[in-house]
Parts: sequence; structure tokens; C-alpha cells
Amino acid sequence: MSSTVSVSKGVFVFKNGAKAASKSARKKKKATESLFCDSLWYKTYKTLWNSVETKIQELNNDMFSSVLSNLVDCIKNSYANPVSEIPAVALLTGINMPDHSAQFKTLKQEIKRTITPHLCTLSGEDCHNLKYLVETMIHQLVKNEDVMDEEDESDSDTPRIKKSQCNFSLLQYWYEELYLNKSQKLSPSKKIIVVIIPHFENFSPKVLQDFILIASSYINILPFVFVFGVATSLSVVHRSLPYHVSSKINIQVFHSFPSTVYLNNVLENILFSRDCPFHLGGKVFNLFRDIFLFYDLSVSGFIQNFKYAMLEHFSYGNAMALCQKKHVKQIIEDFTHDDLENVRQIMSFRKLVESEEPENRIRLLTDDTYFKNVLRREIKKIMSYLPNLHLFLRCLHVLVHDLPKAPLGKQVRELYAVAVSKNITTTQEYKECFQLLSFQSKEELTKKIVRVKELIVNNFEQSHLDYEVEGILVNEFDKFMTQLDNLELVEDKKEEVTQKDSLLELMNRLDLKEKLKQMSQNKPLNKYEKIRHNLLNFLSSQFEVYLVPPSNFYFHEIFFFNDMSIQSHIIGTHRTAIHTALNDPHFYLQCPCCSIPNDSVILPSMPDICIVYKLHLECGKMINLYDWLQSFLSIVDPQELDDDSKPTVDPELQARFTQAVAELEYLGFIKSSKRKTDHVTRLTWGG
Amino acid sequence: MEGDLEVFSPRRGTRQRKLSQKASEFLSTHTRRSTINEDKRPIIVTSASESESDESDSNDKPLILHENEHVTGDKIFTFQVRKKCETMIQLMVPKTPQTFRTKFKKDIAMRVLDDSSEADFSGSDSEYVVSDNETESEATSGTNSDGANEPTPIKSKTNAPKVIFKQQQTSKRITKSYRIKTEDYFSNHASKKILTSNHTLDKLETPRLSQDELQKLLARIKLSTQHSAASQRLKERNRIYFEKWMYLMHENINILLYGLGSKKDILNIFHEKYLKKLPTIVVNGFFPSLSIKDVLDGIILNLLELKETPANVFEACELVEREFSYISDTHLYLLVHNIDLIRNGKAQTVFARLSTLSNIHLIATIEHINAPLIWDHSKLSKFKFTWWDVTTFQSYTDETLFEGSMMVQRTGTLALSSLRNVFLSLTSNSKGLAFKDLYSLCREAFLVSSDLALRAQLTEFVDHKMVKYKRSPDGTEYVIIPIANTVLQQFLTEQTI
Repeated sequence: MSSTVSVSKGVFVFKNGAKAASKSARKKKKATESLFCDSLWYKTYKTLWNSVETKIQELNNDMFSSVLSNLVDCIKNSYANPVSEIPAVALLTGINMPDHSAQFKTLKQEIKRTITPHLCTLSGEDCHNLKYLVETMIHQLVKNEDVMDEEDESDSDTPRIKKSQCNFSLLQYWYEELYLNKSQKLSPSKKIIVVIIPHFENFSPKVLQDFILIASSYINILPFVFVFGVATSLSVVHRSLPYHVSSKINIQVFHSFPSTVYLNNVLENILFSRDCPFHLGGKVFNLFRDIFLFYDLSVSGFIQNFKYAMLEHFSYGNAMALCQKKHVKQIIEDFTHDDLENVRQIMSFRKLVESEEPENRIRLLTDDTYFKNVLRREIKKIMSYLPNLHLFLRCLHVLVHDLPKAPLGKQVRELYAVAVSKNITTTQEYKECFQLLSFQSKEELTKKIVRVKELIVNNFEQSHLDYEVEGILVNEFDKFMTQLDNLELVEDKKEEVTQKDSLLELMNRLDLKEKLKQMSQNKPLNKYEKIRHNLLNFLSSQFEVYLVPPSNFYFHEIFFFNDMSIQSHIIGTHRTAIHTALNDPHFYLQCPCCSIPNDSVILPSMPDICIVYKLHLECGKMINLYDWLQSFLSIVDPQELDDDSKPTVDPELQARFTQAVAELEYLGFIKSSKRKTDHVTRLTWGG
Repeated sequence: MEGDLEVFSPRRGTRQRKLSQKASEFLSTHTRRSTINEDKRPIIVTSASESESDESDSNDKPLILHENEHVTGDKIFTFQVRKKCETMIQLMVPKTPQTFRTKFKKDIAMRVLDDSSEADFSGSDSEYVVSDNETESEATSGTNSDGANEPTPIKSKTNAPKVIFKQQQTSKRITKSYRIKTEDYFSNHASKKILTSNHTLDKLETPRLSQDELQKLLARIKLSTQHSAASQRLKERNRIYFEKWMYLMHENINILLYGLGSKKDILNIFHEKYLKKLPTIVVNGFFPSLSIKDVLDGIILNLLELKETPANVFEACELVEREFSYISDTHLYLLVHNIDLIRNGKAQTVFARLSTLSNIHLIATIEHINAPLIWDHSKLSKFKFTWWDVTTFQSYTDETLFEGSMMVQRTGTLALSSLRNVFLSLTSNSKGLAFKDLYSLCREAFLVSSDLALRAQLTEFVDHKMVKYKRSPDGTEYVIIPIANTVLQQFLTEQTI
């Protein structure tokens, strides 16, 4: 391959047959498949991912639809009455711009479909002055029209309006051409012109002010409507538009969901459902959650990470093809010997083998048909476990989400994170929750039980509960409910009956205190309390059955991805890697010569740059090059120990030092300084 | 060197003396501190949003990312409380050898015990060490009763089936964590004085090496056998990733390579092995005059063979987006060396936009320690990078070639050599022609027989200002034709016809 380093250019093109499509061939083809498109696991991945993706898309549209319909209505009616100010809509999207592009895409489609074809989107990067803004806007408006008019014909042949010719008078002419001339014959209602600015903060206020002033002078000719996407707060709009500008527009404000709500929705409706057999393990889930809550609040980022986890998970091999809802039987049937070996490599297979009788162990390892049967059995177990896990997590969530201080958390995701990493029913928080539940009043508890019952009944077909189990559960709940209902009739009769006498006796304060304490503890349970006790016990016993951690199952790795090694790929540790490599080269090199007991040791065998780096860590803000060189020499070439009398330096060593310093500068640790001769400034601190 | 000014320089020579100084300072701070410490009050500045943070997430704590720091969700937005004042003072002086440190620590610990006031004192040693709780995540994951990190003794490796990505089998490298300590910043910037010695490089016999010499010397240097073997191992290890990269890129996930050492080789090998027959564009970010327009022109003019390219970068970007949507079965691979050196925000926006296309795949490398800062939130979300540590320990020879270093001689050698080159490449015409040379030429051509005759011939030309005489400083007389070359050329062609 020819060299890609040159002193005359920095871009090298290797064509290898790429070419722009000829006009006739400009049909959108299906994108080509991945290298692994034939592999079983890849197919499984692809179908699963596609279904998840479309579901997320649907959910996104659903969630946005209420805001959307209001917004669209508002835009639609903006010119119903004569206006003196330009109608404008501010959509408060909440921070995280990348997520919003999907919303604005839907909005655009919706506006195009229902209101007007005259629509343009302006982004701050295209419009850093007014000229560009006007050009971009009018170009989009006029061009859209072209495309609309002559849909499939080769659009490139039509005389395009040059961007530099776009100005307001052209727009006016174009608009009048469209509507005024025709109006004599057909009089179609004038369509409004919508200008969307998705990232309001990204725009230079000056440009926007000028634009609004100009547009407002055309208000009787060109019916503009502005849509501002505001990520922070409405005060941004007020701040960037002074009174004489903001008086020209009439802003209506809409709110969309905060991204935490969106994430919870995605999780509860898609990822924690029976539709998605692929599950994140506790650690990985917590990692993604932390990235979301503490780094970027980006749902699309979360989904991206989820996708990466999936890619990583399925690339394990064909064993992962079992991670799906249907066809599992068939897939196991079709497994080749190699695929089965792939399954045997799964960690929990070892536990399975150990749990078996000695004669079965060998069969598991060698007899493929026997192993297939076992595998089928175990996979079936997990597959019936998963829907129940989700169902009962939801039930538990109903019970515990509004407890004071919410020991187990307020979201399903928090429960999930605990439940998949350990046995949730043995945790301290769980016990605390049930203790708190046992203080709940009848009304609260009844409400919750009703919800839980509803959940179970509604999800009954989806989950793999047996009819009997479902029946038992529902019956049990009904029984408790009737008991609770009946309680009211009975309850009033025996209240304060026997309590008073004992208190009347005279005793000293300490004894009284003891006595009261005892009484409060030993108070006989009243009827409601008894029922509540039984009910909670029953619930807890059910949770203990269904909310076991996935690691209890063999082959749980097929459905749960819990490999934390992806952390370093998702959040790069760039600085750490460089520091570690420089500070402890043995960590990467694994050579016999450079292993050090602690970080402050410098060995002459280390690479030059490491020695130079470690020496520089010992310095303050400024570093004297001469001294640095001397200390470098004292390590690399220690025999030359006499004093400053003869400062001759082996040129080779000097060259090595020079290169190492240049590399440190290149990496950004130091830069040359003019404050003192032959000094460099340290750009980092500490060691 | 003596005097009250403390000299900060790397080890050697003055070490012993400084120690005693440091020690005395250390002790004096200790005695001072016991009084200060009484009214040490943590300053917590709470952000406004925190108080009204939505109640649904109020008790979320980072579980994975900041687990070592024990910061609760709310506190993450507050300033760090200074925990140990002594570490700041301590860090102003260079490191002390272990023996001295332990000795002093003992000494101090004794005193502390006497005071019996401070408990957090002995922890100061940990400030030096990169925290090595690296095994924690591994260990805990194993304890989930699934025995995840126990070896598999039952299976014999001989009949292991083909696994798609080998690195899943290779032992995972445990990552070290490295946290930058903010306190150190203040200790480092506490004083404006430059406390270094006044030595200069001029003390050396050869203060600076010239670039040529440097290259020659470096070329001679060989790695030790152990290190060359080790770097070979690293190379092999990195090569395992290649297939995975292809896999991920086809799923629209881009690749970012980081880690110490030049990554040019890895990318080149990757290019050669996997992309040889595929459309690829290699961009050298370290090339000084690279602009994003070059990259776009490369795609539009050279790769797609379109006739014209819009002047505006974003329009060009749109054009590329449109064209690539037509050819969805062609995949373009963008290999960008040192994407961090293209610091122009616009350029990064363009890269981000290109990388979102489903059939343009980006694989880039970064070197600078602050490289990730060039991307904001929205760019990063477009890039969809996965990060790969491919430490190579190879020297940055190609990359540093374009950078001037202060250790390299920067005299006029370059200008001089370029002048010389220009001079050499000049036609003799523009230098003019020495009169005696002209004379000898004319003699050889039997045009004239004497100096005077030639001069008489030339007088005609001189009178019409077609030839000039010029005397150079060394006394030779030059004959110059002050007419543009093209005119002369025209004249010549007319004459020959």
C-alpha cells in the first residue's frame, strides 16, 4: 500500500470502485449486510434490535403525540384571526439536544402532513449571519416547492435558484405567484410558512433579532410562524430578544417530557418487557443508568449503549441465538456440534455439570442429544422465569414506590437493578419496605392490592404463570379483599376494653416508661392488623418464589448481559491509559525488566518517554530543560557521576531525551515557555 | 544554590538537602494545623437546581461510575471539601524517598497519637499512589454466586469451538483508575515564583541538535529485545480487535482509538488487511495545513467523481449526505489519524455529520491528553464512538515531524537550505550571465574574436535597453536581459520559423 505520509497533502483517497450513482440508478437500495449476516446469532440480533428500535420509535411518537397535537393545532390556528404580531411557539424540550432531533422530525412530518408544505429548519451552524440565514431559509422553502411539484422527475435538471439570489423579495414574488395568481381561479387558502429553529440557544441573538424584525415587516404578505426549540428555560428567549423585537412576536409555550420520564417509559414498556428477551445485568444496567443520570441525560445515548451491549452480547456466538422468544426449540434442534460447544463454554454450564450425577456429567459433555434435552429444559425454565420477574417486579413496585424514603427506590428500574444482581427478597431494603408496609392503613393497602391484582390479571396471558397459580393468586387476593371489607362491620365493637386499669396504679416514672413500652410492643393485634400481617406474608412468599436472581438459573448468561468490560469502550479512559502507560509501562508491556514495586520508582530500562514523564511529575509549574536532561542522564547513564566540570553529553542520549520531550509536548503535558530561558511549562498538575 | 530560595528540579544532586527542608516544613505545618483545624468548616455550595430536583430521582446515587468517591447524587454538584490540608503543602516539594517518608510518618504518627486529635492524618500516603482498587469490579461480579471468574477446569481447550471474537477468551486487562486530584492544582499554582535553577542548555557542548542529526541519531537507537518483543505482543493484541471493529462499524458505531504511542501503524495494518478493496479515505490530522474542505473535496471530487463542489462546507456536507443515500451499498471508510489535531469546531461538526451516515464509517485516533474536550455533547452523540485502548508505545516520529520542538535547533538552516535550493533551481538567465562567460561562449561559437568586438556588438542592444550591464559585489560584470521570458520565447519561436 502506498504511503499515507506526505509533506504536501493530508488526505489520501483510495477509490476502490466507489462512485456517485448515476441518475438512473438513484433508487434507494437496501443497505448491505454486515460481514456476519449469515451467522445465526447475527440474525437473532438483527431481528431483535429491529423490533426494539421500531418499538422505541413508536413509543417516542406516542409520548410526543399529545404535545404534538396541541402544538400543531396552535400553529394551524395561528392565522385564523388577523394578527399584528408574528405567531411563535416555544417548545421547552429540556436539556439534551441530541434526543430532540427525533421530536422535531416528527413535528416536521406532522406539520407537512396537516398544515403546510412551506416549512424550513434552521440550525445555528448554518446561519451565523443574517445573509446566510435568509438564503438558507428561502432556499429551503423554494426548493421544497420544486420537489413537491415534480416529485419523481429528475430534480437536478430543473433550473435551481442559486442560493445567493435568495432574498425576501424573491420569497414574496414566489409566494404571490403561488397563491395570489391562482386565487382568481381556485382561491386555495393561503398556506402559512413555518420556520423551525430546533436549538434556540445555538443561534446568535443578533441574527435572530434582525431576522424577526425583517419578517415582521412582511407580516401582511408572508404569514410566518416560528417554532423555537428551547433546551434550557424560557428566560433564554427573553434574554436574547429585547423588547422591541419580542414585541413583534407572540409566543406560546409548550412543554415536553423530561428525559427521565422518557427513559422510564422506554425501560418499562420496551426493555423490561417480554418482548425483549435480552436483559442487562445489574452492573451493566447501573453503569448505563449512571451515565444517563450523571453524564448526559440522553435517552438516545442510553439506547445507543444498550445497542452496544447487545452487539457485544450476541457476538459471543451462536449460543446467543437462543436469546429470543420463539423458535427456541427449533434452534436447539438445528444446533451443530460447534454451536453446542459454544453453549458449553458458558460459565454456568460448569455449575450445571457439577450439580449432576457423575454418569450424567460425561453425557452432558459428550452426548449432544442428551445435552440438547437438558438445554431445552433449562432454557424453558428461564423463559418462564423472565415474564414473571417483570410482572412481580411491577407488583412490588406498586407496593413500595410510595413508601416513606422509598428504601427500594421509586422506579421500576431501581427495583430491576437490585433484583437482577442479587436476591431482592433477602436485602435489607426489602425487609425495611415490608416493615413499612405493615404500618400502612387499610385504605392505602387496599388500593395497592387492587392495583396488584389488576396487574396480575392483565398480564396473565403474557406471563408464564400457570392457570392454577394465577387462580390461586387472584383468589387469595379476593379473600383478603373481602376480609378487609368485612372488617368495617366488626371492627368498631371491641376497642378500648381492657387497657385502662393497669395504668392507674401508682409507680415511679421509670417503671411507667418500661410498662408503656411493653404495652406498645405486646399490644394484641387487632383484626385488621392480623389480616394485614397475613396478607404481607402471603405477598412476601410470592415474591420469594418469583423474584429470584437470574444467576440461580443455568445458562442465564444467554439472557443477561453482565460483562463490565464494556465500560472502557463506552466511557473511554483516555487520560488514564496514557498516565498508566507512562507511569507504569510494565502494566502494558508485561516485560520482565520494568516491573516496579510502587509508582515512584524509575528504572533505566523503561522507555525514554516514561522516564522523562516520571521525572516531570516531580516538578512544579516550570521545568528547567537542562536539569531535566541531567536527571534523565543520571538514570539512563548513571556511571557519569562527576560534577558539573564537563557537561558533555552523549549525542545519542541527548537525541533520545529530545525526542521524549517532543513527544510529551505533543501529548500536551508540557509546552515551551518564554518566561525563563530553556524552560517548559507543565500543563498538568499532581502526580 | 544555597540561600532561602528553594529550588525545584527533578531529582539528582540536591535531594538530601531539600529533604530536611521539607521535613521541617512538614512538622511546622503539623503544629500549626492543630490550631487551624478546629474551625475548619466544609463549604458546600449547593446548586439551585438541586433543591428543587424532581423528587423521583432524588435519592439516586452513582453506583458504578463514582463508586469510589462516596458522593451521593446531590453532592456531586457541590465543591469538594478540603479534607487534608497537609497534603497540599506536602505536594509542593518533590517526592521523598520511601525510607524517609516512612520514617517521618512514624514520627508524625507518634505526635498525632500524643495529641490524639486527628484521625485522618495517617492516610496521607495514599495521595501518592494511583488508587489500585482495580480488581474490585471483577471481584464483586464474581461473588454473585455464579462463579463468573473462576477458570473452567472441566473443559479441555483442545476442542474449543470457533469463537467469533477471540479477545473474549484472552484474559481481560484489569484497568487501573486514575483520578486527577483537584487539590494538587492549587498547590501547584500557589506561588507565582518560578523556583527552578538558572541552568540553561548552553552549558552543554551541543545545546541543541539539528533536526537532521536528531533523525539520524534516533534511527540508530534500537529498543531492548524485551521491549521489542513486548511491543510486538501489544501489536498482536491490538490486531485481535480488527474484526470486531468491522462488525461495529457496520452497525453504525464508530471507532476511536486512544492510548500511548503512535497508532499510525495499527490503522495502516487495519487498512491493509480489511479495507484494501474498499473505498477508503485516509486523513492525516497532524498534517499542518489540513482543512476540512480538503476532506470533503476528497470525497466529492476524487471519490464520487462529481464535477463541482459547493464552496460552503455545510452545503458540501449535504451533497455528500445526498449522494451517499443513493449508493447505500457502497461503504466509505474514513481513517482519521489524530482527529484531535483538527481543532476547528466546524471541521469536527462535519466529521460528526458524516459519521452519522449509515454508509460512512469513521475510525479515528486521538493523542492529546485533553483531546476528548473538543467534542461537545451533541457532537459526541453523533459520533457514537466506542473507545479502544490500543497503547502501542511506538514513538511519534511522523507526527512530531511537523511540530517544532524547543530542544531542536531552530537556526536559519531551513531558510538557508531553501534559498540554496531556489538558487540552484534558478535558470542561469535570471542570475544573469557573467560577461566573461558570454565572451567565452561567443568565442566558441566563432561569433567574435575579441572582448572589444563583443562589446561593440552589444552596444546596439544596450542602447535599446534590451541588455543591461550589472556589476556584482565581487567585481564580475553580468549581462542581464530585462525582458520577460514569454516575450523572449515568442521572439525565439518567430525567429526559428
